[in-house]
Amino acid sequence: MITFEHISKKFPDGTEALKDINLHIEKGELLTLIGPSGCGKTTTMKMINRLIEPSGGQIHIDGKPISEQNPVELRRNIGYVIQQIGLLPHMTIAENIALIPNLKKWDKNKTEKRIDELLNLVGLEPSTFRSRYPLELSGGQQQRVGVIRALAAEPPIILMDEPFSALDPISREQLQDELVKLQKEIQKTIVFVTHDMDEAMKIADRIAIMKDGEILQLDTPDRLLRHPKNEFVRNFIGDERMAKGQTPSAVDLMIRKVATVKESRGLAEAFRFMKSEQVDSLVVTGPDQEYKGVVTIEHVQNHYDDDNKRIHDLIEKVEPILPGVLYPEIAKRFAEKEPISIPVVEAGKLVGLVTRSSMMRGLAGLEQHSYREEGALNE
Amino acid sequence: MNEENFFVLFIDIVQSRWDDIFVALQEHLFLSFISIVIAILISVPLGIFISRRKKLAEPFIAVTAIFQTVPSLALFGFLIPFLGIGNTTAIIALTVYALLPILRNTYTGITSVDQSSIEAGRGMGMTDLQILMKIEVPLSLPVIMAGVRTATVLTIGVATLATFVGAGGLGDIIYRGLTSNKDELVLAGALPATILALGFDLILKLLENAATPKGVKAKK
Repeated sequence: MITFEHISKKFPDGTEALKDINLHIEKGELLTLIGPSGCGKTTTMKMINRLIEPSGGQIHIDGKPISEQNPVELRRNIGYVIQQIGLLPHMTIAENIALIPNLKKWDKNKTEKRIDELLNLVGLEPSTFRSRYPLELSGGQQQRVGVIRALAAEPPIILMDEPFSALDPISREQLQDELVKLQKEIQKTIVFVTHDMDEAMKIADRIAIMKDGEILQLDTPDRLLRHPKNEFVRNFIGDERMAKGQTPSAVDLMIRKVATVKESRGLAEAFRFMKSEQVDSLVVTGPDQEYKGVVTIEHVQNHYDDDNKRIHDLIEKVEPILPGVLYPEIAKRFAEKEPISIPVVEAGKLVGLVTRSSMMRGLAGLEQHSYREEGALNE
Repeated sequence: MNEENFFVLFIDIVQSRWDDIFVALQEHLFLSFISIVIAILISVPLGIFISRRKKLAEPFIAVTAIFQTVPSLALFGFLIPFLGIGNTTAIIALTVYALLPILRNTYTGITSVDQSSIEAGRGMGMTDLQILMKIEVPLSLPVIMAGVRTATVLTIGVATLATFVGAGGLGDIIYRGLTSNKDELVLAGALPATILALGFDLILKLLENAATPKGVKAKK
């Protein structure tokens, strides 16, 4: 539908806003451009309706280069929604919605019918709202009108420049939900600029993460969560959100404060500790929390009478997992090898422990109980 | 001369000179009206032009401001060697005076139109002319009208000086009263000029209100 080929932009003051952007936007998809301010996301979007011209490269819409089209004609076939809403305050809601149909010289009756249809679409009662003025409406209502004004002349493409970011949080959520619902019905090609990752995750079919005039990664929300290409993308998406992604990983399922024991301890001490803490296993660690293995309460009981044995002699090598290991693999491990628990280890050091109950809590989205006092037996 | 005498004298003179006063009033109206219309025709397009080229705005406004600071009597006198005496000279001088308020308000009005409205208009595919006529002019009309109102009141006052370039007007009556030392005749010229100015001020105030778009009033 929309193709960017080697698009670059240098502003007269020498700043390089975009470097060699290549992008293909499919028909009917909602693509969000996201990135820190100054990354070029708005510049990229405004090139589609020629509000900004590229310094190099070519943009095609439906195979036709837009540089050869009349910008005014081009814009009348591309809906445009901006953050400041931009309703014309001296015109009624109906007149605002009718702007582009009138510019395109639509038949009066057709326009009037279209106004009612659109107002109904976003839940604004036509008989009440048609003759109101923009400033008599709340911010959320105004931006609903802003969105349907862009839809009025049935453009195949809609550009949205941070349309909801100036709204209060409740209106913002509502409008995002409505947009998702609306998009299911209208199936337009939408390019949506935002700086809000939650918003992008919620509404986008694909997300393009931009930085310093380049697209770092262009992927579906799910793939971005699972396979962030680099450190910047990972940070930009946010660790917390990574954990919130559809598939939980070991980090979400583990307890962080683990009952540990040092190798040199005697069995009687360890046994008493397990009893008092009501745990049936301890993780054995070295002086710097290096992971050594696990001892179970059965094992300790079995050798309890042997005075010469120390923890060191009873260690079982339970294979640890990395923090990023996803839930299905952890569940499989519990099913196949039936360990009491699985230690989570990063760079050789213990970071947590997944038990059956901590996994259930994690999957239910509950907070993990922290083990009440770490390492009473630690040296 | 006590109060009552002066009042009687004033009534007498208005009655006896009614024809003269009426002619002077017509001349005065004519001079002011033509000057204001010309000033609007120059200042409004110029104001729109300099709002597009902001680097030119300051010099243009400065020049009209300098015109305004020239003492009015001096300006009339200054024009005589070039243009002689008569209506033309008076109208040119009055027009020059009326330029600044209209130019400045047009410029301010157009440049203070909410940029988001303009960006939305451009993004929707309005041409520059459509943006001007459908967005910028309607939204800045109240400010432009306020400038016209200031200029009109100013011009009606300054037009009393047109008599010195032989263009007539109520200044004739005042001048005759001054030279013949008749205060009542001075008043017979000054009072209609004042009423004229106040009347126009009121009418234009109403026009200004009418020019404020309904939807913009709603927020107040």
